[in-house]
Amino acid sequence: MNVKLVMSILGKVSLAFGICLMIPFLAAFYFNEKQTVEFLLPITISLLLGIFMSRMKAEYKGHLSLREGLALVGFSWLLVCLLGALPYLFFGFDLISSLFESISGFTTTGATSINNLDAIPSSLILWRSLTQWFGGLGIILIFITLVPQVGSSGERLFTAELHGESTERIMPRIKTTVYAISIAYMAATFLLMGILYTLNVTLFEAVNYAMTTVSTGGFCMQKEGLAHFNSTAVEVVILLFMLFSGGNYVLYYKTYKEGFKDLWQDTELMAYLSVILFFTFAMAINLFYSSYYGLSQSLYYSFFQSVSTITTTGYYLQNYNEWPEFSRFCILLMMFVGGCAGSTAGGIKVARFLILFKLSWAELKRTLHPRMVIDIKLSGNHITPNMIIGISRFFFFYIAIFVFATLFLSLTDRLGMLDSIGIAAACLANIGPAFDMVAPLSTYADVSGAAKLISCVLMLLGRLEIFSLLIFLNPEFWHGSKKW
Amino acid sequence: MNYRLLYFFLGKLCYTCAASFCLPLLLGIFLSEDSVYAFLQAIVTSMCLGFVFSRFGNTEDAGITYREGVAIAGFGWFVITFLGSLPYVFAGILDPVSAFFESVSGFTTTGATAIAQIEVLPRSLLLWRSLTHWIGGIGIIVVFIAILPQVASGSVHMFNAEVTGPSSERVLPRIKTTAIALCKVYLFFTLVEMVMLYFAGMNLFDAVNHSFSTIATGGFSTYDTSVTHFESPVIEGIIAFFMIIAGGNFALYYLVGEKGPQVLWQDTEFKVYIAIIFIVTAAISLNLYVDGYFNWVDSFRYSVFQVTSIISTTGFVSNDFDVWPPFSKFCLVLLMFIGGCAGSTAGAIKVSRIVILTKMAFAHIKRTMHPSMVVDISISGKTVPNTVIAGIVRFFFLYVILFALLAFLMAMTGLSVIDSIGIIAATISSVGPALGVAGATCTYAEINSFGKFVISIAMLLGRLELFTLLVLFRPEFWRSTRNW
Repeated sequence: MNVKLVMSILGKVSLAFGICLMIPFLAAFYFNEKQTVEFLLPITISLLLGIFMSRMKAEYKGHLSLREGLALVGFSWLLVCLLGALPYLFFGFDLISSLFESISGFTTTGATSINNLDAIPSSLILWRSLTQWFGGLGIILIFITLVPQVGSSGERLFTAELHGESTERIMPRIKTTVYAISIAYMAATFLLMGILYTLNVTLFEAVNYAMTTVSTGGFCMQKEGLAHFNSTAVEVVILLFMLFSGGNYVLYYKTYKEGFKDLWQDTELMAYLSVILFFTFAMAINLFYSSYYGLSQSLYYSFFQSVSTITTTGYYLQNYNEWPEFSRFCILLMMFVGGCAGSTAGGIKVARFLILFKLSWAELKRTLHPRMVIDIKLSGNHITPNMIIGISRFFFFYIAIFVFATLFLSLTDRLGMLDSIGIAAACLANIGPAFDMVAPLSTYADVSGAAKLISCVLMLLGRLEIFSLLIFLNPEFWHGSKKW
Repeated sequence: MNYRLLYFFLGKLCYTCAASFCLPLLLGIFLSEDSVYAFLQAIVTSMCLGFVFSRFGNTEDAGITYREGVAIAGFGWFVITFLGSLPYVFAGILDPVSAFFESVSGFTTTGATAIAQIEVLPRSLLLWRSLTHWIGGIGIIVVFIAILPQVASGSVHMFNAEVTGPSSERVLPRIKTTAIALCKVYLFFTLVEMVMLYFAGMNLFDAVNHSFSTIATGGFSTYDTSVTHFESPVIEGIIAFFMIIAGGNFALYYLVGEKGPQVLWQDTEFKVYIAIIFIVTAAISLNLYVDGYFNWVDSFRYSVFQVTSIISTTGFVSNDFDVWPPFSKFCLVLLMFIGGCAGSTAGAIKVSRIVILTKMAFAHIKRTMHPSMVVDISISGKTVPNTVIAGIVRFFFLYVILFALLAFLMAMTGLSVIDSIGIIAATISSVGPALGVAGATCTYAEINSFGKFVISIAMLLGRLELFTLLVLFRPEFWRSTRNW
C-alpha cells in the first residue's frame, strides 16, 4: 500500500478541514463572542497537521488501488471526526461527549449529548450544523463517485448506472455527475434557507436548519425541536425537503437530463413513497383509535414522523415515545428500512430490501425448478450476482451488528431492553433519537460513557456501510502481499 | 401433483392420530376421568376423516417429488393440528381458537400454553398434551431427515448424514429404513430419560410427560411453574443433559451407533453448538453473579438450565428469567434465534445455517481485498455448494422479515414493543415462554384470539422452516406440468 500517498491525501483533507473551521471562527467574531481561541486552536492544529502530511513525497500512479481507496475512505472519516471534536473539547465538554457530538454530526445522525443548548455560543451551534452538512455532502461524493470507481463492496445500487463504458470514458462522466450532484445538494440547501427566511425564521436559524435538514441529519437548536417555530408552514417545508433528501440524488440528476418519466419508472422511489404512506396510515389509525389526536392531526403527525424516520433525519413534532405501543413499534421497524440508495439517508436502504424480496420470491420458485436461472431486475437494470451477494452479506452484517450492539449496550449502566434496542437501531441507521432514555425531548447526555462509545462505533459503521470500516479488521490489509 | 398419494398419506395420518388418542383414553378409563368421552369423540372424528381420505388415496403411482413432500408436510400439519385440538374442545377446557393454539403448540413442539391453570386438568388430557409434543418431534425427524432430503437436494442440508437419493423407485424404501432407524434413537433417549427422572424422584406420570416433552424439545410441563416446581438440581441436571442431546443432530447419533463417537467431534455444527452453550452459560452466569442475583452456584445452575432450554428450543423454566438483567434476557432472545442443530427437533435458524452465514460474511471481507478470489465455504470438511449458500441467505432474510411482520401483527393487539418481539421470537423458534405478558411464569391464556391466531401461524411457519409453507403460495406449485 502506498502509505505516503494516502498520508499526503489525508494531509490535504486536514488542510481543507482547517479552512472549513474558519467559518465558525469568523462567525464568532461576527456575533461578538469571546470564544475565538477555542476555534483558533483547532484551526492551527488542522493546518499544521495538513502541511506536515502533505509534505510527503509520494509517487502518484494515476489511479488509486483498492486498498488505498478503502484506507482513504476509512481514515479520512476518522480524521475528520477526531479533528471535528476539538472545538467541543476546547469549549469544555469531556472527551467522549466531544467525540460523540462530532461523529453524530459528520455521520448525519443527529443524536446530541448536549443538554443545555441555550448555553452554547452561536458559533459552536453553527459548527455543529456545518458538520452535518459536510457529512451529507461527503456521503454523496464518496458513495456515488469514489466507491464505484474503487469497487470496494462491488455494489452499485444506482439506477443511473454508468455501464458499458470503458474506464477512460467513465472518469469524465463521474466528474460531471459529481459536480451536478454537489450543485443539487447545495442548491437544495440554499433554497430551503431562502424559503425558511421568508417564513419569518431568523437568518441564523434558517441557515442551521437548512443544513441539518438537507443532510438528513437532525440536529436541533432547541430542545423542543421543531415545535419551537410554532408554524405548520415551516414544518411542512422541512418535511418536503427531508423527503427530497431521502431520495436518490443520481436519479434526480438523471431526471434533470432526461425528463420526469424517469421518476415514475423508478421502482425504488415508488417503494420508498409506498412504505412512508403505509406506515403513515398504520400509525394514524392507531393514534386516532387510541384517542390521542383528532383525525387530521393523527395523519399529519404520523406522516411527519414516518418521513423523518425513514429518511433517518430524526426530527420530531411530538414526543412519539408517549404514543401507543403499536406506533412505537412502527417507528422501530422504520428505523431499519432507511432511505433510497444514493441519498444522504442511512439504514439498510429501500433498494436492498426490494432486491432481497424479489430474490426470495424467485428462490421459492427455484425450490420447484432447481436448475432455474434467477434474473432480477430493478427499474429495468439488471442486478448482477455479485451485487446480490454483496447485498445479502450487508443485510446479514447489519442485523448481526445490531444484535451484538444491543447486547453490549445492555451491559452498560441504566439501559433497559428497549433503550438498548432503540439506541442500537437509531445510531446504526444514523437517525438520532430513539425511545425511553433517548426519546424526543431527551438527549444522550445521561447515557454512560461506554454506551456513548458504542454508539460512536455504530454511527460510523452505519454511515460507512459497514464494509469500509470492517476491512480494517482484515490483517491482510495491513501486511499486504506482493500480488498488489 | 400426485394427489392420490397425498390423500393416501393424509388418511394414514388420521388413523395414526386416532390410534394415538387411545393412549390417553386408556389412562382416562383407568383413572375414571370425564375426559374419556372427549377422547372417544375425537377418535370417531379422526376415523371418519381418515376414511374419507383413504377412499381417494392410493399408492399405485409411488412417484414422490419435492412437491408431494411439501404438500404432505404442509397439509399433514394442518390435519393433525386440527384433529389434535378436538380433545380440548370436546372436554370443554378451551375455546376453539385456544384449542387450536394448544394443539399447534404441541405438535410444533413449541410449548407455549393457552391454559391458565394446568394442574387442575384431568391427567389424560395432560398426557395428550405431552404426547402431541412427542409425536410432533418424531414427525419433524421423519419429514426433515428421512423424507425431504431424498426428494429435494439442496433445500434441506444434512451435512453428515446425507443420503443422496438416486432414482425415484428406490426412494420410498430408503425413506422407510432411515425413518425407522431415527425413531429407534428417539425412543431410546425417551426411555432412558424416563427411567432416570423416575429414580431422581419424579412420580411415574411426571417422568413420562417430561421426557416426552424433553426429547421433542417441546416444553409442556404438568405443572404451572414448569420445572421450577421440583426445586431439584438433580432433576434440572438430567433434563438439561437430555435437552442438549435433543438439540443435536439425530442422524448424527445414528451414525455414532454405526461408526463410534468420533463422528461427533468431526461435526462442525455440533462443536459450535456445544461451544455456544458454554460461552453463553458463562456470560449469563457472570452477569447474574456480578449483578447480585444469586450466589455463583445458583447463577451457574439456573444459567446452564435456561441456556440449554432455550437453545434447544425446549422452553422449560427453572427460574423466572423475566426478572433477570437485560443482558441475560438479550442473550436468551439471541439463543431463540440461533436454535439447535439441523436434524434435531429444535427450531429457529439452526446452528449450521448460522455457521455458514458467518463464514460467508467473513469470506467477503477477505474478498473485498481480492475481488476475483474464489472462497470455499466448508463445513465438517465438505464444501458447501453455492446454491445451498444462496438458499441459506434467503432463509435468513425471510426469517427476519417474517419475524418483523408477525411482531408487527402482534403489536396490533396492543402489546408492548418488547412483549411483541419476545412472543414472536419465542414462538417462531418453537421455544415457548417469552418475556413480559407471556413471560417465564405466565401463560398465553390472556392473549386475544387474533393474537393467538398470529402466534399459531408463527409456530407453523417456524416449524416448517418457512419455505415448506411459503412455497404453497407459488402458483407453479399447483399447476401440473408434463416436463417433470
